Amino acid sequence: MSEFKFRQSQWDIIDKYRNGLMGISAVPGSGKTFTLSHLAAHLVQRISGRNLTQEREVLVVTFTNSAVNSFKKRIADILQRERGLMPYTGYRVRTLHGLAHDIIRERPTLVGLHEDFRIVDERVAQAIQTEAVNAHLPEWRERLAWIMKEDLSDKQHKQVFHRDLPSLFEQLVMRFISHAKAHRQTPDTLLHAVEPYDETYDFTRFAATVYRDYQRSLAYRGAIDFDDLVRLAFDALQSDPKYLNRLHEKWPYILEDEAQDSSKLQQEMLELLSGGKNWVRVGDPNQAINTTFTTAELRYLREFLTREGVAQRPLHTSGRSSRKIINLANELLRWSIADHPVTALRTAFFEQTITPTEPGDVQQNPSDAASNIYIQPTDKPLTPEEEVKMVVNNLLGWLPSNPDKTVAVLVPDNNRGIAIADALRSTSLAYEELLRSTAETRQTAKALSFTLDYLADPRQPRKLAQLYLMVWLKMKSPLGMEDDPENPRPRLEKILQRVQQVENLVWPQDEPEFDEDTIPEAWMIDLRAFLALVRRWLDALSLPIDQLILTIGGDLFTNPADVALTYKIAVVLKAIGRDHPDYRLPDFMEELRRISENERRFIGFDDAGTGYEPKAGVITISTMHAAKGLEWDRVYLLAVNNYSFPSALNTEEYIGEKWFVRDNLNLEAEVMAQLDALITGNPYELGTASRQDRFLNAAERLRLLYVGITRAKSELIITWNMGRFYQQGGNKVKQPAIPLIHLMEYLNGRH
Amino acid sequence: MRFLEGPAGTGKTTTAITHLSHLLMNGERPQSILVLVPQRTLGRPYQLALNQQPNAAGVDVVTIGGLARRSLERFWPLIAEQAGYPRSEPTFLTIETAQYHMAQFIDTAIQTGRFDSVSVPRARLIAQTLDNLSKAAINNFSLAEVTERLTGAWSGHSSRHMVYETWQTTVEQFRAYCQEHNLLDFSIQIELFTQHILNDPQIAAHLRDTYQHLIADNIEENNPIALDFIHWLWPSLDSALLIYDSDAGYRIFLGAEPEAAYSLQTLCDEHEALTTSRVQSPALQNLEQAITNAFTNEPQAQSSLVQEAFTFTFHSFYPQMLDWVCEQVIDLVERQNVEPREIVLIAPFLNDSLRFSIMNTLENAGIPIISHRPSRAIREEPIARALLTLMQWVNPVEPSLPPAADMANALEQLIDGLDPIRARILTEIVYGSAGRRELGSFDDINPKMQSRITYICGERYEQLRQWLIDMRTTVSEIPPDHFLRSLFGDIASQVGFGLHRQMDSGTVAAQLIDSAFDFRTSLYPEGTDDWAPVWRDYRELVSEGLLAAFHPLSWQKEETNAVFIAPAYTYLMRNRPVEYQFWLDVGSQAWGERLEQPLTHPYVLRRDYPLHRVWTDEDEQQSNWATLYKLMVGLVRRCRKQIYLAIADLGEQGFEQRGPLLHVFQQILQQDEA
Repeated sequence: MSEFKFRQSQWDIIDKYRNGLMGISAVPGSGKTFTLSHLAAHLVQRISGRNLTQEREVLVVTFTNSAVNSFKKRIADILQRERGLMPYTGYRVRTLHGLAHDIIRERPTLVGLHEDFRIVDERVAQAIQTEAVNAHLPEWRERLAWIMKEDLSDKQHKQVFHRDLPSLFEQLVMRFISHAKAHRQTPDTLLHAVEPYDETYDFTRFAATVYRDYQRSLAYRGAIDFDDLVRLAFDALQSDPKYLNRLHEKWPYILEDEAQDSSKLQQEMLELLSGGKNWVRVGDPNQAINTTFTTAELRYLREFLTREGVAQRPLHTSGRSSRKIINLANELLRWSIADHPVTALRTAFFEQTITPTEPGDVQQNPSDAASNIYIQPTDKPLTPEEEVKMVVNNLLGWLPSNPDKTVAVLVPDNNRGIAIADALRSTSLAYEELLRSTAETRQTAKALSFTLDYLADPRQPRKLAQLYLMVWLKMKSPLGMEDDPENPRPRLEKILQRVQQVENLVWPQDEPEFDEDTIPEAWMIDLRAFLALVRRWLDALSLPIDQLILTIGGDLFTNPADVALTYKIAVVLKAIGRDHPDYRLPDFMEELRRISENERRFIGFDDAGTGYEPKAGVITISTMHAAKGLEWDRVYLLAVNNYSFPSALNTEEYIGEKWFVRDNLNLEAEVMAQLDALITGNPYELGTASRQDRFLNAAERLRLLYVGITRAKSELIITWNMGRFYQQGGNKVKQPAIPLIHLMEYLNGRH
Repeated sequence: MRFLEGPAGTGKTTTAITHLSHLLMNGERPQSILVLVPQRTLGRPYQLALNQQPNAAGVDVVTIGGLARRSLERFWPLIAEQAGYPRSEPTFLTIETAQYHMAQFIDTAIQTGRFDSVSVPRARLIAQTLDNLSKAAINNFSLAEVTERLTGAWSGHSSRHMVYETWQTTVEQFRAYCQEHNLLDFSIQIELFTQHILNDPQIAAHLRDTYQHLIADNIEENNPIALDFIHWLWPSLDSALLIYDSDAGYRIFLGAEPEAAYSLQTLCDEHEALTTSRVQSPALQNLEQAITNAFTNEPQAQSSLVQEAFTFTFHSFYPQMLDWVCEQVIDLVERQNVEPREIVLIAPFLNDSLRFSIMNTLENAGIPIISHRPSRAIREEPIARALLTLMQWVNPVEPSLPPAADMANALEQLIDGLDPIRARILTEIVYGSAGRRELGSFDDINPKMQSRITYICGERYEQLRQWLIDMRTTVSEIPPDHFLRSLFGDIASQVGFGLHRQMDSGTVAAQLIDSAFDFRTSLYPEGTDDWAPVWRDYRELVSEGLLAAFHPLSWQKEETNAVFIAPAYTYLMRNRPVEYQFWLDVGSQAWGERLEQPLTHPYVLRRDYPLHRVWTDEDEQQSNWATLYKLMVGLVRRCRKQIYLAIADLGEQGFEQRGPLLHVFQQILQQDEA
């Protein structure tokens, strides 16, 4: 194995680490995942032993499922190709939840669970919560209405009271339960703790009541939710100290990636599992962009990185971006720390500058000569539509002449991404979406659901025609969908849609339903094959649901991931059917829809486990969040205005502060603060948390901008827009984000 | 007095059957011979042998539970009063009917929040509650001792103590209820047998007089009270043959005590060990040695033959692994001319989806395959669902009508020649989409629709409809099993109907009728004024899967030449070596792991487990490894040629799999490299 592909700072980590605590603070593009994978492989080799009952593994913990898959694969490759060892053994890569699941799964009775306990997915959890919220709403709605603004019109009042409040409550409850579980608080303790307080605590009281119902409802199903996993894993380890001891032996090394996204709970869990011994934490505090919607807290990593006894091995050298772009990123950092007009935000970043590589380094920074940065000037405001149009036009001009380059359009939220995708669809440009729920899962589930849809009422010719077109022709038939004028498909489709007696088509007893001579022979043969399959499925209808799904899936899919997903769907539906003996096909179809939208949460069924790789000549559309860890030659950052990137100023609007809530209160933040106060006993004052949340939110958005900028290797284009409601004037007309204005001035000063 | 031991396949049972014949030929009375087995299926070879023997009627081939029940039936009037029961004939509960009665007490406990600290579905709570009762009975523990044992072994949060206490109060209520209503579940039968039957001087003398000769097979799988009984009977016996399988003892989870069983040899004056006729190839013998080395952590030079004993592949997804298994089986049968019966597919668990996937693929390839799942819920059987749907429709006290989809299925199942689409059309017309109390007549349908449905199906429908309408008026007067029996006999089994000459469906229907009979006789031995609510209760329980398991009649198929698919222990207990074994899902965590059930504990509820000793993770690990070792060796000893290991990275639920079996094979491979 050669060490020349590493730079010294990386090699020092891989080769010299023996034991103890180590903190690696890494700048964007410094190769932290690469370094960590090699360190893992190195340690796997070191601990491989001979003792059956003392099997040992390097435990790698990271933040997302896709990171788990790509890590797993990288380490396997290193072990197999570079070290000639068996792949996939001697280590385990998990998210925190995956790890917790492993711990519980091995000893479920320690936490009162049965062998085959179920984990309800988010949708089911949400449905149960909604039900509980609705059950309590009548008695609570009046009581909680004081939170509404007083100057609402009658019409507004009515609308808010009946529509906006209930949906806000649902959201609140969801966060509340998740947060309570993260702090390992049971409903009963909270209900008890909140007793002495006045009506300001009614939201907390309400949420805790729903929490109690929700837990009962889960227990009745023999189920737990995702947030329970971690809580129960702790309980299991505390129930039986010998179990913990065994895990200490089993996982002598713990490597943690993306440690800036680590929650208090994760930190405590890893502290417990490592026994405070061999624990390597890697992260970039300046890329902490998940703190506001998870329970992650940045201060824990910062504290670790400066703790005594922790070996510091920073990775500050990066060969990813041109010097121009590195300078821009470094300037954002410098300015935020030293000169940000809102002093509370000066702590948003950790002081750590990106250093370009030395001459002779394995990875040279792209040259400045080809590097460009463009920022949409302050005096040239765009509407959101104009912004999209401008970016698309720009791509139309640039991409055809740069087919070997990678390019991304990065947006602050999914909706902007969908707008871009819509605009690109009408062009000839190739693009991929890295937005929520990808097309292929939907495909598998969709084909199954078209099929079930017909089977649920086989008398309907329209559904039969749909099955023929959307499933048979798309997935099975060799005849395909080409649209040449000779193609009888449209005619056949019409015939199917209008068939008088479906039964006579499927199980002929009478004269044919249409003149078969008008259809080319090949198409008739194909149609008969389709009908034979339909007969087979109809005969399978009396089978239990899992067997029906397996039968259909077996006939439809050949791609292993599709088959695996079908299998999993079958097993899950079977379990649901056991709990609901009254379920029939339409109910299962509804469940199928839910499953398909949520399937990837916990499961390795995506992209063959390698993670996303940008392709040359294909535009990636992604949120800035999902872009973390990736890089492109050219990057567009859109909507960098003071709505998406606020700076905690009073003139700005905040997503968490609802228009109908009085005193600019951020209810979610308030309830979380009440919950924290109940747990810690610290004082609570209405309004403080709402203000505080602005700072947290603004700081995170600053870091999100930093992440966006550091995705670009060579070219960076940043634009902003006036927001959707600019016509309403006043502070509805959005401005460039404050940090963006500074970066413009910085660039202008320099040029 | 002989003690015979040896591993699988050495002819122990054959020896015992010869011994049995000798006894009979020497003129011993059949009634004086007792053959004691740990489970009914293991008595099968004796039954078969006795059927071929003249003058053999009267030999008892029983389990200890069977013996207890039979004694109680015979001697009830002698012991009922002193045991605190009514003198009238008692009702013997099956597992299903015991669950039904237990449910009311469990429900109360759930509703009052006393099971809040465990998250276990209701049906499982009921099953585990009864399981503890059985464990108490076979070990001769009092209920308080069960609670004390479970509590003493628990080291976690104290809320679990309340769960165990709740268990005890619940079963005490259950027992009081049983006593009042003269119901005997398995645990009570065993208790009354050991405490009253065997202690009654008159009955004891009678039993000792009756049984002069004992043959006890598979004593390593039998439970403590069975062993106690052997001790009890011993002094009065003229002859005894005790048979011990030295690689078995798999039913530890069910209370087997292999060590206690082995110590029975001290009572015998003859000790014989059979060792010859090993079935394994040299490669498999080497594999067995390699497994032992891995478990004892003794790296030893290993024969290269080990590699020939097994073959394995690694797949990412579970269904890919299943495809591979099927391909290999097809290859063995079609290209290498292996007899299907020489192939067995083994999984740690065999759920329905897995069983269906494999059986479907192999059957489509024309390869015979049988499954030996002991039971499944009868509601899964289409024909049972059809019968229950009609039962629901006919019964006026049912709160709701069957959904239209169920009615369509019932018509399709019962009317020969009616396809699913026509069944749907017919249902829509005569029953509507929301269901109706009245079924429309075929004669009232417009002629065009009649012709779509076809006249022949229409005629059959009319016949069924008339029968159902007649039946409606009698619901209150006849028990549910009578209804099912008539539906089957008068209609379904006739020409033109779904069960005509359909053996499999007929079996399902017959078992459904039996379960309705059991239900009715155990709950209403004296009958009742109005049967309609009984119909409803029965139907609901079956629909919830609580009642009526379907036991396929697999023993007849046993001898057919087919690939066999089974959970690992089922295969082991069946005790039939084969040439090729496929181990499915080798990465699964479930190999060698006990079932995790919060309310009960198979090790703590054993006589040899010290009271008040905390059960720790170390114990758990040790017992898991020991179980795995026994399991692996047991399987390897039942294989003649080769083992195929099928491994999937992601299990059926999509989780990564790194179970213990995988580690054992890694060790073996590493040893091999060394």
